[in-house]
Amino acid sequence: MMLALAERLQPLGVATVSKGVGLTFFGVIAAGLSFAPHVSAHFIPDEGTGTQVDAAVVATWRSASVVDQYEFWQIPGTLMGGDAYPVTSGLSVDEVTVKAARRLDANTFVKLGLGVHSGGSQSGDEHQSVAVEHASLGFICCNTKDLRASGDASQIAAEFVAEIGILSAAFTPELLSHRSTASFSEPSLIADVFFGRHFHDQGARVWLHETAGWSAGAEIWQGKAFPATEGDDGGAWDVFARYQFDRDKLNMTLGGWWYTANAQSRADHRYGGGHQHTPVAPPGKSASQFPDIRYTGDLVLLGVDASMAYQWSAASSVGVKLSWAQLTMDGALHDAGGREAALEADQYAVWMQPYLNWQQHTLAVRLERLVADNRLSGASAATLGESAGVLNPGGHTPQRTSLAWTYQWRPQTTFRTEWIQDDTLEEAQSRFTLGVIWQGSLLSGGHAHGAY
Amino acid sequence: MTRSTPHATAPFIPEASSSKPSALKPVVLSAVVASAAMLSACGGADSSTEIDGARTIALSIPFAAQVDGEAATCGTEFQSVGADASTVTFADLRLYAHDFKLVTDEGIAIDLTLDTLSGDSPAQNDRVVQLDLRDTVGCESDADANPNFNNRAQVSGAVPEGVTVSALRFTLGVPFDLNHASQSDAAEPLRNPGRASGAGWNWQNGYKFASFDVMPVGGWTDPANAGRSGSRWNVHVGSTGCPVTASELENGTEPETCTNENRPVITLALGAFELEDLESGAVHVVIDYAKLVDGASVAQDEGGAPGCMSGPTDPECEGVFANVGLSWGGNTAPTQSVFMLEAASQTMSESSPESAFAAE
Amino acid sequence: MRHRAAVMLTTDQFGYLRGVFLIASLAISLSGCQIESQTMVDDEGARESTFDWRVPASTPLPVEPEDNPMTEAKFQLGRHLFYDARLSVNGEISCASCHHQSKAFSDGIQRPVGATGEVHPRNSQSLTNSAYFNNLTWGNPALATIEQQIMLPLFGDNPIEHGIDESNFEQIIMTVQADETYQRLFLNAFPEQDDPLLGDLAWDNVVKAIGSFVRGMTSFNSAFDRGDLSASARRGEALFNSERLECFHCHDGYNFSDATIDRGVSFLEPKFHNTGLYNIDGMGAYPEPNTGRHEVTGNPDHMGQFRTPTLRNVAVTAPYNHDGSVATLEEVIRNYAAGGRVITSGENAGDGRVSPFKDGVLVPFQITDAEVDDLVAFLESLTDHDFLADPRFSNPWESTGENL
Repeated sequence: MMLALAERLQPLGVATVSKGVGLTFFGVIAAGLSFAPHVSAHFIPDEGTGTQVDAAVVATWRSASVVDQYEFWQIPGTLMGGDAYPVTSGLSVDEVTVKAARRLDANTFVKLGLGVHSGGSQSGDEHQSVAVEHASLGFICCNTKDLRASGDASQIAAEFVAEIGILSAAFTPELLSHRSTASFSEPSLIADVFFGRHFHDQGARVWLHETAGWSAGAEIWQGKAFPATEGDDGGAWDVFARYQFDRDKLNMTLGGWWYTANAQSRADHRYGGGHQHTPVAPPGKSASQFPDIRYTGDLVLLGVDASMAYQWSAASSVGVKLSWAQLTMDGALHDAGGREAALEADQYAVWMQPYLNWQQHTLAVRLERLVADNRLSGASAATLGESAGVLNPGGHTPQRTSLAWTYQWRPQTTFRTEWIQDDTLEEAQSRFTLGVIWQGSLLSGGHAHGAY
Repeated sequence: MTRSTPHATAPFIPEASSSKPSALKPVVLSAVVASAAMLSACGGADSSTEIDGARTIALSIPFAAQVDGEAATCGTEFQSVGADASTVTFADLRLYAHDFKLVTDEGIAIDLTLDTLSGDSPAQNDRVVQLDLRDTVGCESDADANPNFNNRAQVSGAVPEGVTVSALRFTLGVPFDLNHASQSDAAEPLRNPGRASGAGWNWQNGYKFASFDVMPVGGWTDPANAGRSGSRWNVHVGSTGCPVTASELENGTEPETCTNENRPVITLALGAFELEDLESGAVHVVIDYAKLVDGASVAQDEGGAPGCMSGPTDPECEGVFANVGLSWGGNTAPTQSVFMLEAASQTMSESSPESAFAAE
Repeated sequence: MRHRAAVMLTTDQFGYLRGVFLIASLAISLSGCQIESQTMVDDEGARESTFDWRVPASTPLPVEPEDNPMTEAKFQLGRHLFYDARLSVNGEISCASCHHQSKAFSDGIQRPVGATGEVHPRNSQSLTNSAYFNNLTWGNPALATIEQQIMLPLFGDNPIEHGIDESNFEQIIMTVQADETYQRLFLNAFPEQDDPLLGDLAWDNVVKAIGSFVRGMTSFNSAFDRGDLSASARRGEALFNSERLECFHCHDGYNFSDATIDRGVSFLEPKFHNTGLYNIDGMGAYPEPNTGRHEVTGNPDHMGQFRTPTLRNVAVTAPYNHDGSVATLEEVIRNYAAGGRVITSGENAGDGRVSPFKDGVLVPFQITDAEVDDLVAFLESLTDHDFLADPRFSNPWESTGENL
């Protein structure tokens, strides 16, 4: 069964947030955002509904940038890339997304998703373009709508789905959650560091969709999405499985996934790759050229996600989410000057997020930690490692603690404020945010919609 | 020093035996008879041993530089050279050669090995021989006799029974691996400074395979450029386009390949001569400078280096390269005309200083 | 807002959460997993050498040829030979005749003259950081090591520089062998040989020793390296790195040349560029014999291509370019600004700006006089004055009574 994505925020009361040193009391904070991504899988439009179009806009004001304007956001010990742009101070429109889905007939459906995300070049010279997040055709087999509608657990028909096109990743909830749906405006370290924040790629997916609580399947990717590269020597694929069960007021999900990719001369496309421009800094500041170090090699990622929620009253719930991912890299760093160094990396990241929902309020805290154990060898190991951000000479272990309070003011509008203690870089930083999320449907199609 | 010593070290014995194991017994008998006949027939120049049906031979192939039939010597003026009938004196007369072979009338090539010579400054080693045909030091007119003078290539081989040798073959130049190795510690005759002084071609990472330089009387001029002239017209043959692009820079001192190797293979048909004539020294290899510059004027240079220094765009190289049998420009596989076999009695002049390694 | 906020929070419950979290992460970390981040670096001996290179820790070490590893003893022997004019046909030419330390081992004139009066076709190059180049001389892809290059001035005949040839090389080595200073120096430099000075490898040792001395000429201590730039030089640096000028496109890296290799570089293709200095036939030709890479390869596309020199110490190595035909840095800059050089009259007349072989990176740009001054100021900041005066590279025969 599919839980509705529509947030069910229960107010808990106001928890004060203060900036600077020290904190006031935070009890066990629950975020009732059921975070369908965690519980339900991918959205598949139902029969009998028309085209459904949903949209979301997230705007956030932040008190500080994680790095200065002409610096590069490289978390020590990691190789980043993709769309993992650093958050900046001031107001930014984090996300604008429009998603449409339509069930064509009993066995086919189409989905389209467009998005604009904040970030872009460090100097802001480049204009943002609209990205197609997903554009896919899906096929469903052996679904019986009536059985599902009746919710009769004794008669479950297996629902196998195949989707092809430009897809958003379904193997881990990390990549399904959006800033519009998550409690936090900053994606987790697993998402940012290991996956470059977003994962949209050309590929195909076959899976068993929410049958007897199980979702499981496999995906194969062209490799356009970080951390893979496309081409004959690139590409990626993954397998995943998730199990969800409810009992009384308890709802639990457990999932695991395994992803492998090949990368050929993979660049950090946030700042490098192809022809680079050294930004022109205003007088008094200096901008340096990004050292375009590439990675060629294999990588394997695997992870486990778990969540548990307890609905203790009609208007409140409490729960905890947990996610752990491990990255293994075996390849080489190299640059345009003929330098090469072998890289073997064992990295893992974990976050834990307890939360409390009460009426329209949600309070959540997220604790994150990333441990990177890298081994570089070769005459240029030190220089390449330093330029790529992998060297981590200070032996710094990135951590981050975030606290968020969201208040659903109207059915489609939510306010959010956060406080982040950021120890991902060697210099610690605290920042707080104020933001607003609008999420609604432009065309409802007559059915509650879930996560995309 | 007897000639038999090199034979004792003959590496060619296994070759001969491997080719005819089954015909051994009848061959041995006929070989014994034949050798007796040959011993009596020979003029006594070389002893020959019969081993398993192959006759070992030792050749001391004489080379002679000439200008249109006249022996080329240093300090002498030679008339009517080149397209403009210029008068020239020589400034350099050297070449390197390797890979000597005898070719049978069926086209089979029999390898000949270069003998290893003793001494501080041997003119040849087992890979390459230097023929230094200058009779005076630096080819100057009033200089001392050239102690490096060498007009012989000493080779040994095994000729199978019943085979008719119809041609002598050798390759002009230095083998690839030696050509691009360090010159200051190379074994002679490739040591620079040493026998290869002035024969190094370091700008192109190698050696001059042949250097035949003349000083035309009146020098040379550039017909298109009045300000351009010189006193020396050179023919240098060597490998060009040998950039070092090794993928592992530890080995980055040697090129992987050269655009133009420029090692012509010279095949000289014996014609009326026979192998015995080669053995007895009755024939020699003539290098005719007049033929080398046939079609070119040594009083002119229209571009590139003065003369022809193997430059792919040097106009003088078109004719010179064709004469020596090297492809150049659009002219592929020309027939060489510079080297030929002639009877030694005609112009052979042993006016060279005592060569410890000359044939008797 | 960056400050070190208290990581340990004040409340029991939050601390409890953190404890749970840490335990959870400990539990989760599989056997062998780290708890803290670390990066282990194995540079495979990249900084090991039998020679003290005296380069900054962040600068990679140069490649050493396997048959001539660097030692201090070889360096000192080479230093003596470098300044020894007996290594020439007339006893008057040493390497230092055309490579003056005060000019970063260039010589300040357009083209030098050899022992027999023959003028060299090209300008005497500075020897700054010769160890770091993937090929030697202005434009020769066939010369990969300093030792290969040294054979040319010593023994070459086109042009004749030192003039050592078959008629004099034996006498010359005998004068070296007779000098007592060399007895000791040769033995120290080549301890593995029985008789390095009198034996068969004497000349080879001479070449290797001079090669070691030149290889040891490292220069990385300029005002730029110390960060000690004037305001004008800082503006010049910004111009140097700008998209408008794009000097960094070829003059990049710690040695300001894209033809730089060091121990960390596993492969570098030949880097040669045609900068539009000549166009004598309207089709991009350079005057002979200085056609650059083309002279060696014969490939018409290589016409006029030369190796990117280092810009370290460039302010003291005038005149500039392969034939010394550009007198000042300002003229060099203006040639680049124009996208090539126009020669209006004389035998080399031609418009290099329209040469078909000109490197595609050379796009003309606007530059004001003040900006030219700033750029020159930056280039002057690359002068390593210690290198120009360091007694380590000076003439050992002149230090009174002291054979170091």
